[in-house]
Amino acid sequence: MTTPTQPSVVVENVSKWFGQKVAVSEVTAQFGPGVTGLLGPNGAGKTTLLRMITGLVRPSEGRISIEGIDPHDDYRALAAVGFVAEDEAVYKHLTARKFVRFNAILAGVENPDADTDRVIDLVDLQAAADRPVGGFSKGMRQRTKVAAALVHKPRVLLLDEPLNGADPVQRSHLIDLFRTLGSRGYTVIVSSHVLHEVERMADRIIAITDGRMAASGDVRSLRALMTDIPQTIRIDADNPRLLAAALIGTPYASGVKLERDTIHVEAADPAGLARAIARLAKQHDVIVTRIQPEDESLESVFSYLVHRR
Amino acid sequence: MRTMIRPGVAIFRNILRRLMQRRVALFLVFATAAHALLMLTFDLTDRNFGEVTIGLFLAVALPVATLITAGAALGDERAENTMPFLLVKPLPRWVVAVSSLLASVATVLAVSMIGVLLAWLLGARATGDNMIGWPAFVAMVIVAIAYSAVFVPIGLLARRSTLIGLAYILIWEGIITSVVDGAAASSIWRIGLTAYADLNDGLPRGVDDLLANLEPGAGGALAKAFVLAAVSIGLTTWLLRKRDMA
Repeated sequence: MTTPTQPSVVVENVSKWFGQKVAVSEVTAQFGPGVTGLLGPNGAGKTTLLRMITGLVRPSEGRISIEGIDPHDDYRALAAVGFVAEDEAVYKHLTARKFVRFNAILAGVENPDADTDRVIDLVDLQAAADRPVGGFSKGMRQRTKVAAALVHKPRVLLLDEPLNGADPVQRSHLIDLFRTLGSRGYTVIVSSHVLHEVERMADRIIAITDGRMAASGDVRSLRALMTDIPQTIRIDADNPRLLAAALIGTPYASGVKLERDTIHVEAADPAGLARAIARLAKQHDVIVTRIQPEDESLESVFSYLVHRR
Repeated sequence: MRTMIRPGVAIFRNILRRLMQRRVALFLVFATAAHALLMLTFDLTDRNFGEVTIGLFLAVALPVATLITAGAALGDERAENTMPFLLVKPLPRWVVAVSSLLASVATVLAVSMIGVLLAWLLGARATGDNMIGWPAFVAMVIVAIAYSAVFVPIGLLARRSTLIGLAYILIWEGIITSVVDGAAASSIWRIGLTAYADLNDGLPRGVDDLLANLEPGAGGALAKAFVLAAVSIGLTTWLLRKRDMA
């Protein structure tokens, strides 16, 4: 058992390759109590990293430990772990209650019925608990899997894209649940490719792309890094020529291109530019119909973070 | 050890239920009862009863039924991505290996039982020997254990386990062990056949040829099946520990 100051999960210089393909490359990280977001685009290596921590995938190089024990050498390390996989896999022939109870028995829970009821309440699945999981929506399956992962009161919770398929109400409920668990001292590692979701859940973010760690830190510092990224903003207006001319004179735009009714502005300071657009539009009596970032995809953000290292 | 019984039973029951609920289970019931249905059209004597039972049931229907069942025991867990529910648990891997092997054997016995009992009934009615089906029943248990021991790890290892298993049954067991001297000893269904021959008073017609030069012996056959099962559990445990189960 680790003390609150010790990391629960330690990943040391871990790499994994499948044949010629490098899935994870020399990742070193420590995870302690609280929610850590593992952020990266699809195919970045998040799932492989989580599966290595669970012992499902063996690292090609490096070492992983959970509360000081290597899960690949000693299965008892997994007593501390709850895992929700990304895919929709469940035992379709079981009801939600039987599915969770099955997981409880395998985890060695002494009173599986009581603990099953507890976690089914926790994920708000009471009404559907006695229906076969095979008939569930994707979001309900995710909640069932979260319940199954929590049934043995793990100290480390690994969640691979846990909000996939959940509707907005369910998302909000699950995010609150993960935050609560984090605040109670659980080590929660949650992967996602959606920045704003991770921001809502995590105290700390590890950004990963192409199998490598691109950045890590608290949400605020990572957000600050990302706001430094030059962005191209598309602006639609009823008099784009006038607005474009006005924007050229500001320090917030490093480049302005006009294309029919659309202005493409390379923003040196996106926040400053946003304020300037509103002020200039009002000043010149221009009606702005749309302002949209053109390259705010997570891939471009990560690409920037990787190349600036 | 005692603490492993409860999760082991849970895994056994879960795999058994999944295997029995597959549509293919119904097909296997008919496939393993085919020899009994054919017997309805034969002029039965105790001698050709044995030949039909051995030829069709032990050497063809039962190996194929076991292949399909045992290959899916852990193969389906991998294919359907449910393996993390078994493996991300504080459980030694041998519990999963033992439970899956037992579930496979139990499923094969369950789907094959109708055919065996029907053949037993028909044979007993034709010959007046109420114990005529007993040797076939024992042989079925031995063959189900031995083939499950081979096909459970293959199902875990290979995505196309059914094709690999069919090639093994048809080419190795069906042809090579029949024509190559000494190879008959490695034929799994012939292990069951040695038990069948040992428990039969007077060898049924044709069984002599099938036995090749193997000595009848029920005890030895059972021991071989258990050795195969032990090796299988060891191999499956090793695969579950050492191979990526993503």
